[in-house]
Amino acid sequence: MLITRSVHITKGKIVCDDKTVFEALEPLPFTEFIKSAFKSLDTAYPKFYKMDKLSKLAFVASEILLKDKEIPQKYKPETIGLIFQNANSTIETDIEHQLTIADRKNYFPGPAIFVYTLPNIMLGEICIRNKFQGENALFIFDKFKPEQLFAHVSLLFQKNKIDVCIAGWADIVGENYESFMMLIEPESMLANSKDFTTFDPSNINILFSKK
Amino acid sequence: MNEVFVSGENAITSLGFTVSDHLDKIKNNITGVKLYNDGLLFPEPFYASLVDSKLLNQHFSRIGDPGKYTRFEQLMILSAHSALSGSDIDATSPTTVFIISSTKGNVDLLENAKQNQFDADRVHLWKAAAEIAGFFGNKNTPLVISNACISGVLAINYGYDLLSSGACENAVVIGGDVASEFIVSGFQSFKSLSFGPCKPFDLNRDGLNLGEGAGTLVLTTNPGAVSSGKRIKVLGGAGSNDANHISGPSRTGDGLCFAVNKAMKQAGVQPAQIDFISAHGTATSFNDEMESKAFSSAGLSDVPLNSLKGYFGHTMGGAGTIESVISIQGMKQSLLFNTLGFHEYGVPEKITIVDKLTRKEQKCILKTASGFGGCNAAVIFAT
Repeated sequence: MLITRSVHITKGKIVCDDKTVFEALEPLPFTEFIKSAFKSLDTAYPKFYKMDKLSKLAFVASEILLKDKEIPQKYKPETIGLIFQNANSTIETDIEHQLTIADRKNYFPGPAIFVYTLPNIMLGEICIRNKFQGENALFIFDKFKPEQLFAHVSLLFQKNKIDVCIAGWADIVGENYESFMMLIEPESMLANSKDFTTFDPSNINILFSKK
Repeated sequence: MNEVFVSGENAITSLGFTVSDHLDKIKNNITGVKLYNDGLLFPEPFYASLVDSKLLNQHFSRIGDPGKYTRFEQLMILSAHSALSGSDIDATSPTTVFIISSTKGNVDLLENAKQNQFDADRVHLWKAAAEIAGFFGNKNTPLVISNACISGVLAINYGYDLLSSGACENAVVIGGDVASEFIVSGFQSFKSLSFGPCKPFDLNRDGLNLGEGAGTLVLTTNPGAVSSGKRIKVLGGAGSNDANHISGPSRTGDGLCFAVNKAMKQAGVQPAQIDFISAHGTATSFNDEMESKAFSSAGLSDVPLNSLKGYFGHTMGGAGTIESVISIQGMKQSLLFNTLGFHEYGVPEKITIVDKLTRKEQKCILKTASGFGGCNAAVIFAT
């Protein structure tokens, strides 16, 4: 298996493979940063604006990861897997929902916020956008665990549950946000396989440390 | 590839704290769903299946200090403790992993009144999971899956994959959730709660009942650790996404059908070999409609199918494990349990709904789940 692209978003900067593809000119709050990053992609997708912070973060990373890779053309929808990790689940949106029910005299829980209190919704958003219908899993650890991610994704390939995988990390608490995403494809599907990095824990760590 | 056996099980819901508590009531069509109008979890009256807090405290006091663990952790620990006591597995062994599934874990700690009861990081699932696995002296990092209402089935699938590939020998798979105001208010805002006890697959179904609880399956590759009686194996499973809508199921059932077909392929079985389906059957209009389409497309129209939601509601992150545990008892006792709440056929495609307690030998059964985010999962058990 090869990592055919990786994307890293943190601290106002987006790195794709070795290149900085977007950088805020001045320090911006997350919501402003991710909006300008999304605008820079020049993509018409109004659903983006309805997403919560975590889904926006993962969505922008996935758009850059998948651009021109023609994944839906190369692979069947039910063989395209998404395996993510995260530490803080949807804490930002949980607090937002909690505020709507904190006061019985001012009680206004709503579905538009509540639905985003599930961390796998970000996987669903990426699936809807790209018509991916394979395995989904969202794991929660205190920090990014490259070994577990590698072991799980490898197992899914071994068992022929997936033919291609989008795997990584997306997490946000306050202004601390980070997403790291990899596109993992089998050599047999690539004409220029020498150009890519082998999918293994040490390479994941090397890519993850490039920010 | 190693064979994977179920060597211990437990379920805790409003019906009780042991598997036999559940069977006694399910066989007699007794539900734990009732009307709550005390205003504690929601300003307006609603039907739900809740675990009695006093009883939970009493049961937990026998094995640990209830002051040290949240309500969610107590349910998970009690369930795992009961499942492990019926099994020969060493929970402290480095070759045993804990797989924990939940949608929201300790999210109720965000409530003002509860904020100072535990450390702030306890609200995170990785921390709650560490407390749960730590109770049993297990030193491996617990593997936490939080994938909406398919979490429990995914956790079983993951346990199977780890064990069958030889990555470890035993897995304690615990799924559960508590019905906090956070969750009740959210489902109510979706208008997905029923005005009475839920009616899965029924013409007049009008929504789901929330439930809470925990279910545990202890999985092992060691056939010696399985007690006598009918030996149950996990044959494999799979998952999928509808890629249709984040809060509504597919209108065609294609996602669930993919998961079912892939699970049968993983397990190496044909549709004709499936003797029973434990469906998700939440009793919302769209979910049950979608399931009928998916099972019919998968060639499973004539296989007896039930939903257990009428007994203990929708236990969210616990549904996959709790309902698997009950369905495994059905296999062991050659019984198909009634779909409580179902009276009049109300889904568009043909499925065969179990409408009374029925005797039937089952060699191979299918358990499915679907959830927000468009996710689906399926797992197959066999004798």
